[in-house]
Amino acid sequence: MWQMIKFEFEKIWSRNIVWVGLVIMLIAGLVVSFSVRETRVVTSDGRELKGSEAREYIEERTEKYAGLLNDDKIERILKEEKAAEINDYSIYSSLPLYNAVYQNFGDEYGDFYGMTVDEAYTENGITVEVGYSELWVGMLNSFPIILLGIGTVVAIGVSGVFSEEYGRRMDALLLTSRHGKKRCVYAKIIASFLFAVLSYLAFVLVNFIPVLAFNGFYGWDAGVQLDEMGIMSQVPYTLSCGEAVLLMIFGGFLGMLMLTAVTLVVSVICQSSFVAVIIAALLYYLPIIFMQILDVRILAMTPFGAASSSVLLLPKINIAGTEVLFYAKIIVTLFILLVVSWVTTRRVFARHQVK
Amino acid sequence: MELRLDRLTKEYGSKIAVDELSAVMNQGVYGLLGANGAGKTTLMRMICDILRPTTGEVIYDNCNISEMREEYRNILGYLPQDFGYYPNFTAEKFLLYMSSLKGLERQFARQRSEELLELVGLSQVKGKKIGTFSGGMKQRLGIAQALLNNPKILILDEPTAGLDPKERVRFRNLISAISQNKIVLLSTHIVSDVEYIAGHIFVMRDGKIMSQGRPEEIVKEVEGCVWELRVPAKEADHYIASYNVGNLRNEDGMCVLRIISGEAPDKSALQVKPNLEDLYLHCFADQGRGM
Repeated sequence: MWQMIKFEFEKIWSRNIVWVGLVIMLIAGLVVSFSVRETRVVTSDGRELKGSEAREYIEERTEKYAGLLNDDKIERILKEEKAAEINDYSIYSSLPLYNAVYQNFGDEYGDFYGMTVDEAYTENGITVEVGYSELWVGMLNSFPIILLGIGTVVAIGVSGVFSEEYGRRMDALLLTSRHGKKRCVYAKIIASFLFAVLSYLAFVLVNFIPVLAFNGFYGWDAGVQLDEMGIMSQVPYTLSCGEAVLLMIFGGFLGMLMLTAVTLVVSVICQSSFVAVIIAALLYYLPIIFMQILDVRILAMTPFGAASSSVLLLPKINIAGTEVLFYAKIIVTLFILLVVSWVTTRRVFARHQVK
Repeated sequence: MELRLDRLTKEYGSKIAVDELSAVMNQGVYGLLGANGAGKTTLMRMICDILRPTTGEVIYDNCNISEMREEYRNILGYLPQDFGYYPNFTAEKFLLYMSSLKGLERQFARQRSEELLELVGLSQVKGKKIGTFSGGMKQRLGIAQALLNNPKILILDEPTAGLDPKERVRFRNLISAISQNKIVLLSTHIVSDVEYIAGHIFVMRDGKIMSQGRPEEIVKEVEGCVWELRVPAKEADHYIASYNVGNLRNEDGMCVLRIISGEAPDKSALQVKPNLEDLYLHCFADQGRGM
């Protein structure tokens, strides 16, 4: 069986379009990871700092407010950390912590304007640790976009697992071999998931390692709610940036498995690998196109949606008296998809009539 | 060892590809002769259980093959008409892959692959990619994969397609050598492929078996119907247009025609002993007259 899995894996990987696509996506991921914009900040006393100097300043000023966010800290941050207006763009170069606090509490457009920290967070069971969150929140926002590329490569790779056998007229030889209708199918399924998981892992490492290399785990413990863009401020439970990143990686992993399961079904049904690729890609991209109108809870059940940071914004769900993250529902959906995929591919291929 | 085809029928809408076909095969080499569209490939696919019959059954040793499943596929070797392959695989790797599908243990698979590559004359190129092979080389590789599991039932659909005459002779000898204790069914429309090695011939047309038996027996169906006629070259066209001409050769400025006809085409025509090709041409006379 292992021998069969090895062969099937090699058949996926050896297609030029697959390994070229994978290499391009990994390089793109590396480029994005390394192209960190130069850190810039304008201090409250009017100095414009760049690079490591800016970084040291940010770390030093943020450390001053270490610990849980409270009303006193908010007041001090808004008062003492605003960038001096030395040019029209100063406001955008304020301390990231200032931007995050201002975004949520600073003016009438803030989600929690006029509210205390207790009212905004504590009374809802949320505690926010002050820290440098900019880099990790940025990663949360960009990760799903880059994941699109890897998802496309996985869809291309897996869509040919069965459909190419029809196209190459190998189906007759496979189906007349002893293990062609059962073990061979299982080997193909396992090899497909192996391919998806390894591609995804490579992608994660390529995106994660450069960030770690430059930044280490600095800001890992900061509350994800301290988001300059204000998107993560609505996360309805205590969540650090590090936890958010890990959850998003986990969500991406679930999404890849879902994509693989769906693509296998498409592959076994389609007689043409070209059509299989188109349908698999469509099924992957369609939820994105309707992202604005789809309920987030439905979007989260799709391969792309499972990896998006929107899932973090969903409230916890109650299962048998225990509050769990929404990912539990995604896992259940994934399990159902896996079972359907396993059963469908086996049955459809075993009953395939050679034309 | 008995393979029985019991009123096999395959319909595609209003078209009947195989029409209530029954036959029994025991050990030996069986030739399935028929023109394109006769239903040979459809029949073979049903025998291989990769095409469901509309009605009828294929029974091996009193068991329906669709119920036997893995057990049947374990004793089956099949070479399809359009032989599929992976261009980036080497010949050796392809056989190892097929070996794993056929459930051969790894060490044995290596040994068996080596043997078969030697047998089909591909051991020198075993490390080369199949995509670089000629049509004949691919066909030989296809024959090799069909023999991997030493099958008891060997189904070969147009196995000599793409082979040159020397390779075809080699193939015939190979089949004769390995056919002991097997049921070998090979389909072709090249009569000489089966004439010398098949112990039993099925002549198939329009989904039915028109004629079957030992070659020397079924050839008797056209006894008295095969003629040789010497005519001037300018008259040859007239006979080609009017009769079923199996062969034309030029000899001493004259054309010698081999004609298959119930009546003598000319009073000077000489009756000759029929062969299997004459029978084939007689059965398929309306599917392309003469040459």
